[in-house]
Amino acid sequence: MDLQEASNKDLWKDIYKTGDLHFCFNCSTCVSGCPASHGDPPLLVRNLARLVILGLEEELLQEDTPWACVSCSKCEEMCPMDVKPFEMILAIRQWQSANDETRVPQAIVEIYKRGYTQAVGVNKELRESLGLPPLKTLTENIEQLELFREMLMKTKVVSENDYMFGE
Amino acid sequence: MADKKPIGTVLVAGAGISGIKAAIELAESGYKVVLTDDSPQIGGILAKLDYQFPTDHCGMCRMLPLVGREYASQYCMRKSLFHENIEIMPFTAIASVQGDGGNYKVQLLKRARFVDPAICNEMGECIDVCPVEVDDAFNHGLTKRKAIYQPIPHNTPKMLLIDKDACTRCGECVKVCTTNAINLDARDEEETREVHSIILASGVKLYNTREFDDAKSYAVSPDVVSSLAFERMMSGSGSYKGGEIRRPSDGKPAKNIAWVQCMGSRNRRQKRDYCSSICCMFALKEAVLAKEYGGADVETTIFYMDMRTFGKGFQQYRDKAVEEHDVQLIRCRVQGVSLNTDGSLQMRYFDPETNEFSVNDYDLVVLSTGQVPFETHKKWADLLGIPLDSRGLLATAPESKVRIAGKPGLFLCGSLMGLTDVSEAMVSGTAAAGEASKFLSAYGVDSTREEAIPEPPARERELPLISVVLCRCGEKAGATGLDYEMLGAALGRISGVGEVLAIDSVCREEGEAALADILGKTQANRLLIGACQPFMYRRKLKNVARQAGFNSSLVEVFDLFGIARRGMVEPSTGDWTLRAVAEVRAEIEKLKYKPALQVSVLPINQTALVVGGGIGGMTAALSLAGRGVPVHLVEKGGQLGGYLGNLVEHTVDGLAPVAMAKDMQLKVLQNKKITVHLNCEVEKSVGTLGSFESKLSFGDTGENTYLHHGAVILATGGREGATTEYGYGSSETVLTQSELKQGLASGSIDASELENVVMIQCVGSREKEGRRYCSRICCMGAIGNALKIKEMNPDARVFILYRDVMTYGFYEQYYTKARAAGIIFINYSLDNKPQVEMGEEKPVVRFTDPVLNLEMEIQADLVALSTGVDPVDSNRRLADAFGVVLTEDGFLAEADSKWRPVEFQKVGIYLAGTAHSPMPLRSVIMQAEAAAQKAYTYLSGREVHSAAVTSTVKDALCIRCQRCVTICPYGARSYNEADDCIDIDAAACQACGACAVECQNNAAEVKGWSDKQLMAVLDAKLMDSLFSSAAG
Repeated sequence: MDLQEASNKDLWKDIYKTGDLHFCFNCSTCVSGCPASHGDPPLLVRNLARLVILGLEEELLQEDTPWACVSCSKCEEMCPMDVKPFEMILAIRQWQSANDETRVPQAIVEIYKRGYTQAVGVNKELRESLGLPPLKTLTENIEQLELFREMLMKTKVVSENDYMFGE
Repeated sequence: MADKKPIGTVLVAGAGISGIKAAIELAESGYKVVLTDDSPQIGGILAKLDYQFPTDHCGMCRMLPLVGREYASQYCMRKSLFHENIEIMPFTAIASVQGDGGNYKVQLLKRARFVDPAICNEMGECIDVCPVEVDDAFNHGLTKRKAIYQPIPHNTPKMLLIDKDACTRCGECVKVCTTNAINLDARDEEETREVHSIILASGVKLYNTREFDDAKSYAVSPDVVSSLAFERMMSGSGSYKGGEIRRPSDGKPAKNIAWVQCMGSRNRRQKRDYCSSICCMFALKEAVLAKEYGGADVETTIFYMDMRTFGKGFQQYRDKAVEEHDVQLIRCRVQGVSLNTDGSLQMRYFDPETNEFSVNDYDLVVLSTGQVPFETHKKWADLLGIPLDSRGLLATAPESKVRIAGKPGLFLCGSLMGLTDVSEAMVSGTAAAGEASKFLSAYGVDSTREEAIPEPPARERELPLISVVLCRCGEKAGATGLDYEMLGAALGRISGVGEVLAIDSVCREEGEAALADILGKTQANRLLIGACQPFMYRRKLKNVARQAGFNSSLVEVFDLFGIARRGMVEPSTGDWTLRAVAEVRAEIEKLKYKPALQVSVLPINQTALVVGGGIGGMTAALSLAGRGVPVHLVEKGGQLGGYLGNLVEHTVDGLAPVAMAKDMQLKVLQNKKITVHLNCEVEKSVGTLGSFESKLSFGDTGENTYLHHGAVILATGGREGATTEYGYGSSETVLTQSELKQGLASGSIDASELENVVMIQCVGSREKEGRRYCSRICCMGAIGNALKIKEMNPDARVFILYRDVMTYGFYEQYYTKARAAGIIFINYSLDNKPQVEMGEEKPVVRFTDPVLNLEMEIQADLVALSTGVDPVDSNRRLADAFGVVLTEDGFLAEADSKWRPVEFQKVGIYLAGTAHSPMPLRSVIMQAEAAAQKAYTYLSGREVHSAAVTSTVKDALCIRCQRCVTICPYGARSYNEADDCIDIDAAACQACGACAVECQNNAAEVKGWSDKQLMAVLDAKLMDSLFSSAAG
């Protein structure tokens, strides 16, 4: 890949203005304990940071993994360089949504239907083996989900796109 | 007559190895030293370490003086330190400091030990009866100790004390103490000292995994330990017998061990934006040792970010660890450790080799903990009323690592500079002592040069008549458990013994007087004194004997109570006295056959020769000249300044070498003590410490000059490496970092026209085929240039292709600054080097980004290569001329990479700066000060005493096989072709005895250790066992 052609060196300014991102030294702390890194494809936070720093706009726009983040904010807590990776992921989602109109509806549908964007593992077997009760996701908790949907409907972006829920 | 000037006195606050080194250096220069430490012991962190790389041995004693060693004290340094000019005050805090340089008034707070070490006879019964058990902090809580305890297990004297917080005041220890050494009502005492200068050597606070939040996700089990705790686990005196490696939780052998680097360091989030410097080598060493001591089935893995092998021999050690010991290195910072249900530890990591996640189980996880900011610095700043810099460190003068800015007579060394390895601690301790010595010299105080008591003639030809004097150790009956009457009667019957006398407390003034009294009356011609702790009292007692007319080589002091302390025999029994008879008999036999040994006094030519006119050489020359030592400064080239001083305007850390060199050059030329010789090299040098003759040859005229001097400092510097890689030489757009630097400085390179700049690190370095070593300064150099470009043109993109970013210590802040400025760092590995191809207009650099695993190319306006630092070619000729050794890489080989970094095996010759290895300018200056101090120690005296105990050659038995020459570790033996014999340099010989062991013909012998003596000792001991078996 010719970096000269492929790269927009000011990409970071569009996405994540604070400059904290530049401190990243690719230590992999963010990925080694990330729950979404178990996914397929895995969420690799440091790779997202790299795409932004190198300004690889096209590649970043194609990335679905930012939407796999489960907001546990472990990366945020553990990042030694205070890059604020979780905030970066949210910023990337915003940027993707702003630059690719298909991102928003897709995400909204998932949020509306399930209560969150991506399927998450709940470690059923592991919890059982440790004698822990099964985790209830929002999807199974219909009352809460209904409340959540009401709340969502009050936002502009959801109410404007409500045709997609097709119920 | 002028008033007598006071003797210069220096307070060294902190008795870790750098403080000890500073203290020894000052003491050896004749100054008095008060050496304090907050803790109840001395030795600092090193007291805990059994092993240092690269030898994987201890070697602490190698920092002791080598000349006149009979006048200093040479014992195991991990046990203790004795020097008549050093007053050691452990467990003593500095409460306040008043006054200014030359006149500091220091308030000391001596904490109560509750056990008087001057009275304690160290039988240790108090420890046996103490009912209180607490965690032993020395072993990081891996073992327990009593409330009355010995702070370091191998300390001598034991220096017992009572842990005030743990003690229940039950009084059991007081009851069993036979010498009344314990006082439970002891109080802290205050004491005021007046000193001329202060050296701070207190070290820095270390990261504690129990104290800081960011360790919580790692320290999940007792099997997660700090690197220092791991040292205690491996130690012979540590937590497991024989240094086996076990899991603290259940004592099972630890077979799979992982190290997590940068624990607490390189953390901007926690405001610790620095590297702790020593942890990478620490972990590599621990991993190698774990394999060696834990068995071949031990697996070791180090999780790291950059493996910082920046120092001399570091990269070679890393290569050895990986290739020969199969230590696994994984570039990933793990987020935490999790605890499996079976108690083992689990870590998940992203493996950059496979680009996959892996999950592994470990028995033991070692956290490579470094330093934390910077409580000690704050404490000193408050106490001394001096400012801290923006990082919270004590501010030193810009070019100096040891001279505190704006406060004369105040210096620092060791880990106050940031954690230091042993070598750096030695250099900084020596340099701080040198700075203090310069200050004292300018301030106008005196040094003690001992008036040697003339040595009485040995009455060697008379039949031996031995007076045996035994110490009773205080008046209290039964204190030693010895039956003196029985002992005296038995010894009196041995042939050659004239009398056996007992006196009380030979260690005290009354005892000394009693001894002098006895010696005044005696007819004996040899003297044997039995007392405790001979290493403390030997010198004093020998002086008493000498004044009474005894030749000191015919006086022996031995440890009468040693056997009981070693626990071989129960005290207070008849056996113990019998045992003592046998021991003393052997001592008597050894003394009986001892020849009188002569000390020769060699005059010192108080002039120094410094080879190399760069900043290092000029620093050393000015340092010596400032103390009144005449210096010859020899430079191969036509001008002073060296590589840095002529070519480098600015360094990344804010120094201006060219301006600095100009300023120094002026000082050198104006200094009447310094004679500069340009355009010449030393062709040959003969002689030894105190008296060298060196031949200078002037290349341009072919003339020769001879110089006479007492010591030499080699500071020949280095030069930028050459390369033909990456298209260098084929285009002006591919250049070296120093060419880039000069281009930017002169304006011949216009930064505003640069769009893309690619820098490639480690060109020809850290490779088997090229330079095997890391050149240490290139990462900082590249970052400096990159920042300069960004400063001149913020829109330029700068890519730095690196293998490991070697911004160790506080250089880390420049790495951080560079990233913040948008400079992009891309890792490459040796098996996938970047490619540079000449495009139509610009060079095209191709590389793989390892994060995205994507191949990329950049059309670069400039490609800058970090081609490393090469040793100068003249090192080979210089080494031959002075009879010193080169490393395989062509740098000068110091005597010992850890403990004697600025010395050669051959005494009287020292080295500094890049001649040693590539290093940043501040380190060059520090080494130059250290080398100058080493030379000054001898040059400030008028004479040097040869050691009495040296090796000899019985020429008639010698077959000239020269095995002894090869094996001598001090270069003291040489073959003299002209006279066809083996010569011995008495000043260099350390009487280690290696030659005597190696010699097949018994021609090599150490004086005072003749076969005749040793046979007599063996006979005496065998007679003892005959007796005991007959009795049994």
